[in-house]
Amino acid sequence: MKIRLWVNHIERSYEVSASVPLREVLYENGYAAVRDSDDCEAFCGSDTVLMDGVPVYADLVPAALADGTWIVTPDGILSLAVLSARGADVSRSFFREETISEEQRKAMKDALMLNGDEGPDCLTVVQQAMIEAGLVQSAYNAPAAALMLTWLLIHYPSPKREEIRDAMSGIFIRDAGYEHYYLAVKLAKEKIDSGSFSTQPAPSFRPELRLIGKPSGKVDGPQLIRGDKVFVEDYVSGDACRLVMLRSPHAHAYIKSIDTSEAEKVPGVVKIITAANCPDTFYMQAGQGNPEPSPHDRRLFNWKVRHVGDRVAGIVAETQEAGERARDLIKVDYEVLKPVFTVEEAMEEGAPRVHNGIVEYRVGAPDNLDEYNKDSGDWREGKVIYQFPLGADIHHNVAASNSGGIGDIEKAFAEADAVVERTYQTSQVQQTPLEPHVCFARMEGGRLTVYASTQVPFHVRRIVGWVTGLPENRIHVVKTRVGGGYGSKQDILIEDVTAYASFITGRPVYCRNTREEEFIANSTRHPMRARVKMSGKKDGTITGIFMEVRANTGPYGNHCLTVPMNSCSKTLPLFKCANMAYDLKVYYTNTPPAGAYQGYGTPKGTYGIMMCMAELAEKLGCDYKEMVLKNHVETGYRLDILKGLGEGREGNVVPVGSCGLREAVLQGCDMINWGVREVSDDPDVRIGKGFAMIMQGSGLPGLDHAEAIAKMETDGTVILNSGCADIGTGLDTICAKAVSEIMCMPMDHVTVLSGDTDASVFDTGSYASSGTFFSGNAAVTAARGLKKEVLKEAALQMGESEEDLELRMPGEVYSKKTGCVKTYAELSHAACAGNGRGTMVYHGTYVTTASSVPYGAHFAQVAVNTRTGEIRVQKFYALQDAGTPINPELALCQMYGASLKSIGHTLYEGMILDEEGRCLNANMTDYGVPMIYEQPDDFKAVLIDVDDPDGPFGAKSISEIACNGAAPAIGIAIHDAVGVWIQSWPMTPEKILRGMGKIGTENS
Amino acid sequence: MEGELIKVSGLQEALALKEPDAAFFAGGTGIGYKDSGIHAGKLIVIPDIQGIRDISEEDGYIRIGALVTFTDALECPLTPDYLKEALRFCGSLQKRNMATVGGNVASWRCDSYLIPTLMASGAEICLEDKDGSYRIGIDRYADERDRYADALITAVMVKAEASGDDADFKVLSRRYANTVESHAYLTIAMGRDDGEYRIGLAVKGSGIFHPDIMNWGVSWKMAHVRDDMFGTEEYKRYITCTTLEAMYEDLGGEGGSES
Repeated sequence: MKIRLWVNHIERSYEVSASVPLREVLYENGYAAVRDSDDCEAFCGSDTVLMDGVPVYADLVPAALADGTWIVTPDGILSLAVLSARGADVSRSFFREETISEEQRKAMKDALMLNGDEGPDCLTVVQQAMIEAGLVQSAYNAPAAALMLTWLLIHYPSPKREEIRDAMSGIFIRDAGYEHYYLAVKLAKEKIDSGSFSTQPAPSFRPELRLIGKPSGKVDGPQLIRGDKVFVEDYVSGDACRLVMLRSPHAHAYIKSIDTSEAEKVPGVVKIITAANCPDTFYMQAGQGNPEPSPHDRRLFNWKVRHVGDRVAGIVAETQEAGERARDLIKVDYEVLKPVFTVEEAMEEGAPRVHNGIVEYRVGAPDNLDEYNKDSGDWREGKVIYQFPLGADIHHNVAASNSGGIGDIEKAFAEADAVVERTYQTSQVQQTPLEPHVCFARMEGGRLTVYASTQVPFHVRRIVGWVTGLPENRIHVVKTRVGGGYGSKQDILIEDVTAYASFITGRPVYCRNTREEEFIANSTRHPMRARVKMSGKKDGTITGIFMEVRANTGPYGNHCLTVPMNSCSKTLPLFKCANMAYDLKVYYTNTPPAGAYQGYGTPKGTYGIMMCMAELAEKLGCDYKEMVLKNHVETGYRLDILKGLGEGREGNVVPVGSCGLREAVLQGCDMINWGVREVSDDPDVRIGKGFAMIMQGSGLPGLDHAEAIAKMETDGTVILNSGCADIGTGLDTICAKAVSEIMCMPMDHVTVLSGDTDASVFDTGSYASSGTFFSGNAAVTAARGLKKEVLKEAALQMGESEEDLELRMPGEVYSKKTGCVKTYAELSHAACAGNGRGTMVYHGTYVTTASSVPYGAHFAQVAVNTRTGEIRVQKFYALQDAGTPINPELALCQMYGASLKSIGHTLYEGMILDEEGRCLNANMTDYGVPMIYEQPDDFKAVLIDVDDPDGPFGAKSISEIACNGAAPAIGIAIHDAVGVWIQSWPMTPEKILRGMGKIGTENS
Repeated sequence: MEGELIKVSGLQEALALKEPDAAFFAGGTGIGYKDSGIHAGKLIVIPDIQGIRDISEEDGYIRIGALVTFTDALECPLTPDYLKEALRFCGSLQKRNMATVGGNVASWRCDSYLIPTLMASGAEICLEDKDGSYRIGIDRYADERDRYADALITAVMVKAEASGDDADFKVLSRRYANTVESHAYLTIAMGRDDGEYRIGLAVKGSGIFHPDIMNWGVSWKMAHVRDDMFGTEEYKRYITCTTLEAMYEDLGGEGGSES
């Protein structure tokens, strides 16, 4: 049928199928910001549009119902604002009514106010306010949020807090949290009412610097907030085939046979890839440094499926429909095997072996390997290839193990005044980026181009090279903007098969995970069991800590050693304790895969160790705060415990560097009135407080590597070709600020080209909190090198000594001796002239053994309903030492976002499997991510001012650490409220009631 | 979204098209929703039908047209506060703008936002089919839904709010869900009207119940409540009982309910 509608005030008509969702019609006709994050689940709000002035989910609107309506898309706000500024009446796009009042008209014009003159860089006030507030990060939903705030200000010109909350109630934000949305509205109102943004969105740091430490926007902010075509899906060509996956219905089974003959007859099917015709190459999907501390234990398709959702066949088809039809015609005969789902099942003697193939080692094979391999299973098991020994024993499902320690732990326990030993269990939680895993690959001139939403473009290239057999010079990885990663896009989960499909067919191929696939076939946080034993003296001194970690890596060994190692390496070094030991084992099981998730293993270790400490304090009769202050590390304390806690190799023993931990604890205790008992008006409600020390890292010293090339163009501007991968956190902005600051030039004269393997030099990628520290330092190194090159060239051109010259704004060289000045444009033009010495350029590389550790303390105040077990987080204060926060407004939002994620896994989130290993809640609604209603009533993020000697301009990492504190802080607060120690997350009302004896007893 | 879409502008036209394989399409949050479980060969699109999207007062009842959205109902001063409380259980503004009161009743989901409250308040349902029009209590509708399978809900009649401290009509509702946007695993409502108490109960995975308060204990024990991903049977039974006890107390009940 033909529908006629007005989209962003322009009349359009489309030939559509009546029941196709309006979102698809809009997206296919160029309105790219009407996106989809939930496959018609009406949850995430990426598909929000205004329909006759009313916010609706376009995925739920059949196209036929849009006939005759007025639609506003998120990427249409700016054009409507421009029309409004020109005097056009655009009211029909924002109001149901044909005529509106003068007050309504004024509110509409105000909300559509442009932030400056009309032009290519122009935004609306609301859009600019969101950038100012630091909200535009991975930004998959930022345009939809801007649409909602615009709608809000039109219909509620002076909105109250609850009205702002209501406007954001249908928009899921995972990266930046919701707190600064209130700030964005305030900023927008200021600009509307008084002509300027007067509230500072974040504190400023380093007054001696021009840009570093100042809230000053984000280089990719405008394109993201406008809703430009910047994500992988926007690069997909019209001729692209779809890659549809047939997935295993069984948790553990051999494929006895697979018949694709009927499927191949479906018109439009190009190729079906299975275990029978895929390369016999074993690899792994974790994007880690090479050689990886993860075993190569899979092929593209295996003869054995190891979890519900495992790949069985990949169908390349002209259309999605053809691919799905073919998928349903593939006949697979399975030999179903008994699965194991938990660590406890996996460790049982005689348990089914998840991997039972030949084991190989690249280096360090044990002497008895041949003997060991005699006990392996049939050929369908494949292989497990270790790059170096990880303490594995796959015959007992052990993918990796490690143990070590310092001092004499048993003696410490024996001589202690009190010992507490508890076991803490964490659930399997999912990163849920708004943009699911997407990949588009195409062959171009004999080269394979891969458009990837990834944290690790160079690792993608390496692994795609392994799978296809192509050398790296024939693979071009383009990291687009990334609509949320949180660790899940550190792994090469669909790029491998999509690139291979394009390579063997010669066709452009697009693959996009469904939301269900995101849950069942991607990476998740490793479920983990941590037994913590801690001893202390009556004076509050902690004398011994032992951590036994048993982790569940699922069917494949992505990050199998390093995630559990983090549970110890980012927790034990918080303590000045002479006797510490750890013992960790990681088990293969048949659950959905595990991998990297922001925080890595640290949230789980922190949960156990801080809860145990709080219980020890109670047992010793000590005040918890005093005990924390007595035992935490300080600058200069030598961290011997790190020796055994490397990434599968010996770790660096270093002293504690810059450390704002004590200040964070003291300031947080003041903020939350530690020690003061709060009383609720509701007699059923008890209020409690808790806090936890936290730490993380800033990349992996000795392993990570970052490079950048700073190049001065002939007009004196600079392009920085950086290997970094900005995943929305503002890394490109950090690099741009660094160059601009060092080169004394305006930031808009600096362009950062990053994440493109053709256009930049190597960088290990954005993971392990390495972005600011490593890639930022590479930008600093490149900029400082370029500065030297410019001074050298200027000395020659100006006939002066380099020592007499200095750089100064707005991009010129000044002679302190003669007062002469040459602009960069003059210098560069001459350098590139017929008799010049060539482009001024510097290739900066950054590697280090220095360890700049961010510290912090997170505080929670909870209200627990003793009748129902319900928990409300009334207050949450995140205080963190991030060194110099280069982008403080972005840093604050990352703290809010990560803290809210952490509150989510503490209270609500958890994948639930049935007895067959099927995930019962593989959707957003039932899985339980927190949205604006779950945000704490009083939520504060505070940056502790510490200058780090090794970080770029003193910066350390900021975001990942913020995932670590909520579980112990809330757990300790729950105990403070109702006396129950909750030893597993999520901490549900049912667990509270059981802990209180309200249920689970004969009297209940 | 499955099925052939047929837009209609009149009630009779809609009813004439209704066959066992057809479903009425109102706001879209039910049928359009992924995994809605609704499979229909024909979708009869009814938002253009006039006369069933208004809210009015009739003889102590508030008549809420079936096509009234949650947002419209929340914004209308005639809508009783007790119903507004239930309407706000739907957290997302976009969903409230789309979901209709009639659609929420018709979908009869065991995580329904409104049905327990409507049951506890003694609401009545107005229906129309090819044979005529009906106005029946929601309890009866619950028991005889098959009989009205081809009927279109045209309105929901709810009792107007009583005013004053001595007003004897009062309804309380509670929703238990993992998060505000999660499906509810328990929605519980209790109403008191002229000394009589009514209960409405929606239990995810189990069904919708409207037990007689006098035989509450017996009927609740017979209800099939199971362990699932939302919690154990024991937890759900405990929460139900403790919530109803609290409601009974808040409604001025004496001596506790039979639990």
